[in-house]
Parts: sequence; C-alpha cells; structure tokens
Amino acid sequence: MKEIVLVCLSSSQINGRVIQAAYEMSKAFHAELIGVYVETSKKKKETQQTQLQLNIEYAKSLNINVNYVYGDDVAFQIAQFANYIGAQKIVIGQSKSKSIFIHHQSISDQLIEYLTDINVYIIPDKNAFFDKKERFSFKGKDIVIMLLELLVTSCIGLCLAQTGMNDADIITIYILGVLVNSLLTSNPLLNGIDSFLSVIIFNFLFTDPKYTLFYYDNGYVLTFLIMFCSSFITGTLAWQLKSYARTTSKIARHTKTLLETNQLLNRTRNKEEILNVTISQIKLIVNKNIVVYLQEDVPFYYEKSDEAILKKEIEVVEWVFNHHESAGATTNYFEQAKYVYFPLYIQGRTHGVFGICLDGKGLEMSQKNMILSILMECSMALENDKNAREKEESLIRANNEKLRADLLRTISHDLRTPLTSIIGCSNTLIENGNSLSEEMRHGMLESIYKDSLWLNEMIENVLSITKIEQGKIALKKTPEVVEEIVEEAVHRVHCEHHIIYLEPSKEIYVVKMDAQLIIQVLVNILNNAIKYVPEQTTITIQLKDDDSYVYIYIKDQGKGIKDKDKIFEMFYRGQHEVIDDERGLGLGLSLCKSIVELHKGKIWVEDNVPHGSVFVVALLKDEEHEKNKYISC
Amino acid sequence: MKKINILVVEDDVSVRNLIVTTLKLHEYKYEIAQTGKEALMIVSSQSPDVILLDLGLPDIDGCEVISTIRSWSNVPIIVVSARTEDNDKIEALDRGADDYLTKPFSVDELLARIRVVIRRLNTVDTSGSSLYQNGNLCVDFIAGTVTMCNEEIHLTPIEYKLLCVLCKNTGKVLTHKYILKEVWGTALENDIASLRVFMATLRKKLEEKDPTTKYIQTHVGVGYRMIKH
Repeated sequence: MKEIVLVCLSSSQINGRVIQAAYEMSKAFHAELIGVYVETSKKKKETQQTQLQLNIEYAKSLNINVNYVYGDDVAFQIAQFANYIGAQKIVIGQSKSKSIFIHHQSISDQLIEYLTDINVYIIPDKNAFFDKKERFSFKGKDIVIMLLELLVTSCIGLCLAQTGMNDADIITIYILGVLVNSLLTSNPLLNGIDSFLSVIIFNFLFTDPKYTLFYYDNGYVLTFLIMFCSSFITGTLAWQLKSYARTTSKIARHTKTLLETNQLLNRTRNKEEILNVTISQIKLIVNKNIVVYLQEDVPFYYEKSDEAILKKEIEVVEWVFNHHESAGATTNYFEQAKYVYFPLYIQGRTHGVFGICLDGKGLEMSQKNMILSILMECSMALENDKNAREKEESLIRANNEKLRADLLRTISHDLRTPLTSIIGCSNTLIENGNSLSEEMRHGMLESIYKDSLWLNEMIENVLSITKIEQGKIALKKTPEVVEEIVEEAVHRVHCEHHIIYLEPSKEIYVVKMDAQLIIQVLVNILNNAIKYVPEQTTITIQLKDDDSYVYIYIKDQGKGIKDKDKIFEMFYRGQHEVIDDERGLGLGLSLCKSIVELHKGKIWVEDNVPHGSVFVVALLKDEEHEKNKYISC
Repeated sequence: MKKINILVVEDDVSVRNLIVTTLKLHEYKYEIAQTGKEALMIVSSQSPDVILLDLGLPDIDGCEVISTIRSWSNVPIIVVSARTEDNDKIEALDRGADDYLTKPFSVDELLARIRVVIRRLNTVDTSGSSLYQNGNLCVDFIAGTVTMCNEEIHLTPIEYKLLCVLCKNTGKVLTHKYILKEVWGTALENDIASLRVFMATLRKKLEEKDPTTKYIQTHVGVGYRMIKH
C-alpha cells in the first residue's frame, strides 16, 4: 500500500513552504499527499482569508487533495483525520504561542501528544498567527456576574464582621467568591481582575482605616499578596478544570453519537435505511429541515415546506456534486443560500449531497463537526452498501448463468429423446407403413402420441422457467379461488390409470397468485405421482387453511420417498425403479419449489399413512382480500 | 337437416390438414381461408355457420378479423391460438369471439367445442322469453326465482345477477371484465377477487342440488361459461 503523507494547511504566510516541503517529501517517499485544513469558529481577518485561499490554491496546483474538517481543537481534529485516512507522516508548520497567564502549547506540540505512532514533521514559522484578542475579550455577562459575586461576597463579609468574625474568615469568603466566579465565567483574565478587585474591596471594607484604600498595619501587605495569589491560583485551577471537563464531555458526547450512528448504520441493509438513519441522527443534533439528494435533480428526502427554496438552490447542489466540497450558507461558496450543503464524498465518488437549512443562523462548531463525522460514516456506509450490492449481483448473475447452462443441457437432452422417437416412428410409418402389421403400426402411433404429450409438458415447464428467470416483474398475480385452480390442474393431467379425487371443501379460499404457474406446480406434482405410483390407486387432493396459509395436500399411495429434502433439488431423480422411461423429470419438482417460493409460499413432502407420500403446497393467504370479502358479502 | 358449414382460417398447413381431416371424418362441410382478407371475403359471400379462427394470421391480426366480422354478423367464432398469454384470449373474447381453443388441442376437444356452438345455434332465441331452461336449471326472470330439479335455490341479489348474465350468454365464454361490467358496472381489478368469490359460491349452490352436472365452467385467467345441456 502507498504511504500517505498529510500536510496541514493554514492561513499562515509560510504555509506555502510547508506545502512545498510536504510535496517534496511525498515525492521522495513515493507517497500519496493529502491536505487537510481545520476550520475553526474564530472569525478570520480579510488578509488571512486571502492568504488561506492562496495556500489552498497552491496545494491544489500541486495536485493535492484538500479535505476540510471542522473544530476548535485544531490538533485533535488533525490527529483524528490522520488516523482516519491512515497517514504515516504529518507535515505541519509550527506556530509560536505567547501566553502571559497560562502555559499554552502550540498545535504541533499538542499534535505530538495525540499521535504516538505517526511521524510529525515541523516546519518552523516565526510569524505564525496567534489570536490573542479572542482569549482576552470579555463578555458583558461575565462582568455582571463578577460584580454581583463581589457584591454578594462583600455583603456576607460585612454580616460576618458584625458577628465578630476575624479577617482570616472573611478572606476565605472572598477566595470562595473568586472560585465560584471562575466556575461561572469563562475567562482567565477576568479571574485575575476578580482576584485583584477582591483584595481592593477587602482593603476598603475591612482593614483599618475602614472605607479607605489605606492600611495602618504593614502586615496587611503580605496578607493582600497571599490573598491575591491564593484566590488567583484557585480560580485559575477551577477554570482549567472546568474547561477540561467541558472538552472531555464534548468529546465523550461526540464519540457516543458517532458510535451510536455507526451501530445503527451497521444494522442497515440498503441505501434508504442508511440515509434514514443518518437523517434521524442529524436531526437529533440539529432539529432543522434537511434535504438529501442522491442524484442531482430529485431530492431523496426533503421537507415539503421548503420546496420553493430547494428549487432555487439546485445550482448549489450541482456545484457540490461536481466539486465535492461543501457550499451554501456559512461557507465560502454560495453564501447567500438558505441551506448548507455537504457532499457525501468518499474515495473519489460523490454518493449524494446532504443539505441542512440554517435560516441565516450558523451551526455551532461542535455540531458542525459532529454532523460531518456522521456524514463521513454515512458515505462510508453507502460505499460499503454499493460494493456489497455489486458483489451480490455478480454472484447472482454467476449462479443464474450456471443454472441456465444446466437447464439448457437437461432440456436439450430431454427434448431430443422423445423427438428421436417421434421422427423415427413417423418416418417408418410413411416409408414402410404398408409392410407392418396392424399391431406394430398401432404401437408406433401410440408412442408418437405419448412422446408428443411429453414434449408438450416439457414446453410448459420451459415457459415457466423463463417466466421465473424474468423475476417477479413477470409474475401476473391475480386473486384466484384455490379449488378452481386445482380443478384446472387435474383437468390438464393426462391420467388414464389412476383416480384423482378432489375432496370438496366447505370454504372458499382466495389467494393471489400467478394462476398458470401454480397450475404448473400442481400438474408437475400430479404427473410425478402418476409416474411413480402403482396404477389403479387413488390420488387424493385436500384443501385446508390456517391463519396465514392455504394448504394443498396431494396424497398418493405409492412407496413413499426417502430423500425428502433432495427431491426438490434440480436434476435429482428419485431412487425409484423407473417404471416406463428413463427421462428425467428432475426439473419438475425444483421448478415447483422455485415457483412456490416466488409466491412466498412453502412446499414439502410428508409420509402418507399407511404408505405413500403427501406433497404439501402452502400458499400465503391474501389478508387484504380476506377483509374485502367480508365487506362485500 | 342441412350440413353445417365451417370456415377454417389457418395458415399453418399441418394444423389445417388436421382440422380439415377431422371435419371431413365427422361429415361437416368446410371452407378454407389462409389469410384474414380471404376469411372476410368468404364470411361475406358464403356466410358460414361456424368460424374456426387462428389468431396468428400473416396479413391481419386475428382480433381485427373478429371485430370486422362482428360489425355485421353474429356467426359463432371459435378462436384457435398457440398457448402464449391469457391476454390474447381475453382480447379475442372481449371483441366478440365465442370460445377459444389452445394449441396443442386434441381432436375430441375441437369437436366438443364445435358441438357446443352448434347447439347454441339450434336453440330458439330466448332473449325475449321470461323463462330460461337448461338441463335441470330453470330461471324465471319475471318472478326472479331460480329452481334446480324443481327445488328453489336461494341466491343473494348479486349471485342472481351473475346467473342471469351467464344464462343470457349460454355457451359463450364470458371474460371477467365483461361480467364485472354487466353486474357491477365497473371493471376494476380489485373487484375480480369478489367476482371469484361470488362465482364460487354460486357454483357451489348449483352443484349442491345437482352434483352430477356441471353448469358453470371456470376458465382460469380468462372467465366463465354457462354450459348448455
């Protein structure tokens, strides 16, 4: 297998160098080069956007297949993607991070931690962009929370001071306040400010002289310092713990959803089920209108209310089909669209397009990420389904070919034998008819007659087989009264030396079937019985039913059958002493089985009492009609 | 009694020879036509009593021939066709054929079918009569009663209607579609199931009283026929 090198694209100016390096590396290793870009929720500056576009274009010009993943944890996304495509090497530009308050690892560092068995090649980059603004911008809500917290703590502090509590306890209250604040807000800088303000307020309210920012006791300097440090450290730790917990739970939820989707997809059996599972899973994440296209024009699934919008956006869908990149709302292409469209793309094949209606609102990064993972699973399932189907089809085709070949061989043999006799006998009669005795002439004529009947029977079977080969489409199912069908079959059998008795049944059974084929089944069974059962015995036909089937019992008084399972196999001939001919009817019973199974029925043989066998044909009842019957009566 | 004149329309030599030999043996008069046009000419010039018509003709489709003949003549037509699909038979019957015979057929069968249509030919036209008599079956259209062996049979309104349609077309094979149209006024596929059930119960009621005779004959996949006794 070819090695895979993964190159990480970014909006950095030196990213071109990274791509170049990766390209050379892939050439040297004869490896496949794949590009990945992690899109985050952070807003990008104009210059960065253009730089990114340049980088991606450069990568594409080197024939690098660029993939997009989404997530705020860039390293994690890259690691996951690398594992997913089975990359052996990752090339990434290093970004230097400068953080004043907390230690912040660069992406490349984190990546190395995530990946143990993949080589990471780092191209240094001094100008790598690190967005500080984001981290230090405050939200109004957080500030309000902080002020409230300070107010509440101060009130409690004042109350406690009234009861004569000492400063140490009040300091503890403030530290507690900072801790609570850091749990409620999400900004480490705010935490520092909060700590600082706590110290100031404590100074203002509780140290002599009260209500000033002065203090008499110089020992307070140390107290303030310790108070600030301890509250700041506790707060920061709490914040870190919280954000860590949040990430973990996010990852856990993500993994759980993916696992669930995966399990559900594993249980699906066809395209429709795969898509339905995907739709319902995505609806769990975002409860929005969804559209799915399998071909470009006709949606597989869509909400009626959005029909007009979808018609307008068909152009976007076509674009996604052709470029296998996402487009529509919140993306770089067709931004004005109401829907965002993702391709169901895998291994060079777009299976479809998945659209989600955003109505002008954006998706949360985690949601988008999850949706993309699910869509990836969906594409994979579709690909597997397609492969499995192709395999199955070729297997069926091979089986059919074999069956057809066997069939033709048997038929041509079975047709030739009687034809030989017909041609021979008639020829003799024409040429030497006069010199033959009356008895001999009669014998020859009789054999011509018998063989012709036999040929006719064969032709019926061959016709049925072609009908079956065409599959269910060729079946002409109509509701039929079973008794009439049996009567017709008995009528068609040439029976001279046996008695066929059809037991009258009180009820009328109506079953949906292809009448000609079912008659053929019964004719074959009856002919079989006539052939193998001693003359002058009775063949009895009974009709019975239960909740779901109508049973046709054909009872004979022959010797019974030993290989009950084998007789329905193609080309099998019973162990009987063959009475009058060596021609096989091996075809007949296997044909019966195929026909009955095509009707979702069953056929089997039982022993008759005291001797003989019973062929049972069970036909599925037509429930719908049963109901109709009572209504119309 | 005048000899019955039968027109045999068949392009295959062997089958025609078989039919003609049979007819000769049983002392029927016959005419031969090998194409549809020839057949139409003979029908208009000789007015035969019965027509044996092969559906697969070299010039005109057999069904077209039936329609054309029916435009002016009520002569009984027995269709002879190679057993392919029921649809062909049904179409021929719907266009006005009286009966059908599938190849390969036995000589006895052919003769029996011819006898059936001839018997119908000889019976007095009863369409104006209020009483219908067939074997032991008797239907009084005015009183709306049905008796078998002088015993009254109780029928539901739909069963009675069915019986009337069959009686009025005795000897003729009626397609499901035709019967549905006559009795229910519709020709919906769904109703075929009910037709089967009603017909089966009607048959049972008739055969209960007279188990030895068969009155209603089922033609699987095609329709039903009242047999003339």
